[in-house]
Amino acid sequence: MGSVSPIRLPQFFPFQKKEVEIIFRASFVEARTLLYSQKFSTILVQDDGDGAGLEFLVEARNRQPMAPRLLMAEDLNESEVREGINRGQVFRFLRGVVSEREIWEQFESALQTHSLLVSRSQLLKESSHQNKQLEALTHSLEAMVEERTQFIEQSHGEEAEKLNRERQLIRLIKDLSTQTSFEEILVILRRELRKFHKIGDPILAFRHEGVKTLFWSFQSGTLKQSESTQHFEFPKTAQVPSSDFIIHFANHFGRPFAKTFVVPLELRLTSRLLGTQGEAILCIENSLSDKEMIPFVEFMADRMRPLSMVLDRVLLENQLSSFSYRWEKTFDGMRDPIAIVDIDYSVVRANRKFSDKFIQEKCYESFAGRNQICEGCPVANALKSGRPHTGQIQVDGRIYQVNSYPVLTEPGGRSTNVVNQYVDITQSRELYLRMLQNEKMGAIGMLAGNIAHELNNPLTGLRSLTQVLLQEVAEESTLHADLVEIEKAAGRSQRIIKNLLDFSKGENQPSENVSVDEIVERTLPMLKSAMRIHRIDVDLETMGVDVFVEPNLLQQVVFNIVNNACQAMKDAGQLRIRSYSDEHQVTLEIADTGPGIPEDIQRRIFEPFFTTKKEGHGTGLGLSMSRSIIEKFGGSIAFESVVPQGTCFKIILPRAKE
Amino acid sequence: MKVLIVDDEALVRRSLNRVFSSRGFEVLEASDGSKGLELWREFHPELIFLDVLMPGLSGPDVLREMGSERSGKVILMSAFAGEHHVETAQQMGADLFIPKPFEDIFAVVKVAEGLLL
Repeated sequence: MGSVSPIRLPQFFPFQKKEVEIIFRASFVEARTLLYSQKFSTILVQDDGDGAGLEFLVEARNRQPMAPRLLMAEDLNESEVREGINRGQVFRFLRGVVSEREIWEQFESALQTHSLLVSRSQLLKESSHQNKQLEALTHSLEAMVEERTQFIEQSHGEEAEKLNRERQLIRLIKDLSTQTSFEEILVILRRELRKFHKIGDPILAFRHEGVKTLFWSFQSGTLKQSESTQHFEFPKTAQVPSSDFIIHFANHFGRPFAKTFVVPLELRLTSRLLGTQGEAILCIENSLSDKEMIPFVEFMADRMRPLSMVLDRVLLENQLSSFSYRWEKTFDGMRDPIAIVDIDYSVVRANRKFSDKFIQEKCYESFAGRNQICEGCPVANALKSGRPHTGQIQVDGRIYQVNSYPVLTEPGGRSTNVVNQYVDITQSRELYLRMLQNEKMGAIGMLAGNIAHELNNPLTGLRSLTQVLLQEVAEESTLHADLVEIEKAAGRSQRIIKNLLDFSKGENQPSENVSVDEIVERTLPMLKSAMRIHRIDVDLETMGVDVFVEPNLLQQVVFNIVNNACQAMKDAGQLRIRSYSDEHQVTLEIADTGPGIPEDIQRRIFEPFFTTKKEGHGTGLGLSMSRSIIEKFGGSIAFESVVPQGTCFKIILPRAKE
Repeated sequence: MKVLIVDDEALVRRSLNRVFSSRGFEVLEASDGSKGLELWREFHPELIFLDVLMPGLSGPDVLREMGSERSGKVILMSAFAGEHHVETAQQMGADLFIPKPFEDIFAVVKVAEGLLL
């Protein structure tokens, strides 16, 4: 640098605004110490041609590489420049006479380069720091991967074993899922257990509603079911149970039990669907050592769920089938016949009451013994409308109300089946008609009362006047005899009216002691017109022998049977009425000489609504009511009939207690 | 002695009339209640036969009309035996109840005469 005069910073120098300190030294020796004590942004050397400048620059390069170096010389040859570049890495050469301005420009450029270098080196430093960190991270990751790989390799064996276990379990589940009986399930379980030696056959115990305990166990190779009413607690967890527990098994099976392992089964379906708690346990006898026990317990733990599930299902199926059996029994136990009938009137199912015989295809064949649909059958209407319908059918003299309920298997669908309930309403219909009859009799009674009043007045006068006149005429005269007849006729008329009044009384009149003969005598006058063409043969022998009855009802019975007898004889015949008694009972026989009752209807004549009379001429209730009246009095009514000689009805009544 | 017979049935009146007349009674006849009441007011008979069911005033109506001024024994007669019986007849103020039809008119007259003793 030598002797350079102080330099004024020119206007255009870009660094003038920054703090730039320029230090001048005249000799390399002086300048050299600065290289060691301060940092420079750029270094300018003026070489005198002795090569010392270059040497300084080489040193400056070593000491302060970030400061671009400028070499200024009078003359520079090619080798000097090469040396300068190669050794000193000179940034710029300034040759010959250089203007001040040029020097400043070079400085500026050198300073720019310096700051570029500085920031670049900063960047480099930073990035190298980051690199180091990254490197450390990669390193630790690598270590982890390494470790992991090692672990995976190590556990691969275990995994394979685990997989194998799963596979075995899946196979077991598959096997179990298709089984429908305890036997099949227990056989599979037994096969599974075979890989453990020293293991006995499994025993399944099941309890529902806590009453009975059911056992399924292998006995000489086949599965047997047995039951016990002894109650004992089932363990709630898988365990080797105490001897207190095993004693129940020992007692039940009548043999000692070795060490056992008990697994409770979870019966979710059974409990939920049956609404009550069901319990089941598997009991496995074994003679495993404690060490062998561990894999066995694990083995069982794996299988507990699928076993529980499948046993649960089978138990439920068992219970349900016993339920459906119970349902069947329930339906069989019902009083009314019930049948499920399809759209073609074919019987799908029926209870026992429906037909005690072999059930034929069609409902009307089975139930009514017909070969066509019963009159009044509600099935067609029920199926058509999809709503319950009711109808009345007659079968063998009995009246059934048929309630037909369509069976809908899916909502909104069409039903093709109905459930038919057959209610025998014969009796209630009979009661109804008897009530009607009672009302009818009541109306007749009312009418009779009015007529009786109207007739009794003149009859009283007639009879009384006759009695007065009888006092006044001579007893031997024909007039007296005539008057006697008039008086008798009037008296008879009065009695007929009284009988009519009695006859038309309703039911539930007080019972009284009366002789059958008296009843017959009261009744016959009312049947005069019916009897008029027939010969009447009355032979009554029980006057003074009483029966305890409601007189008007017994009168109605006598009236009915005598009336029937008269109507049975189309031509003039003989009506024979006899009464006789022994020490226990009074018998009344009413016989006609009609055509007799044909054998095919003999069985049915006491059935309500059975009649051979024309429509509107009989209710078919006369004989059935007669029978129920006589039976109410503790008696019986029967008939003998020989075609074509006639019929004899025999009414037997117990004698009244003295 | 006077007897009044109130009945819409002529034969009943006639037969009773014959029996009582023959026994020396003076007999009055009425075919309905109002006429009977008139006769009763006029002649004050000792014995009155009164039918229950009659057109116009019935037997019990006549009894009510008589009220407290009543004189003579009253015999109610009815063919509707179920309708009235002795007790209700007595409640209505009758002295006797005779159901119709009579079995024997002389027995009836005898009982009626018994009331006068």
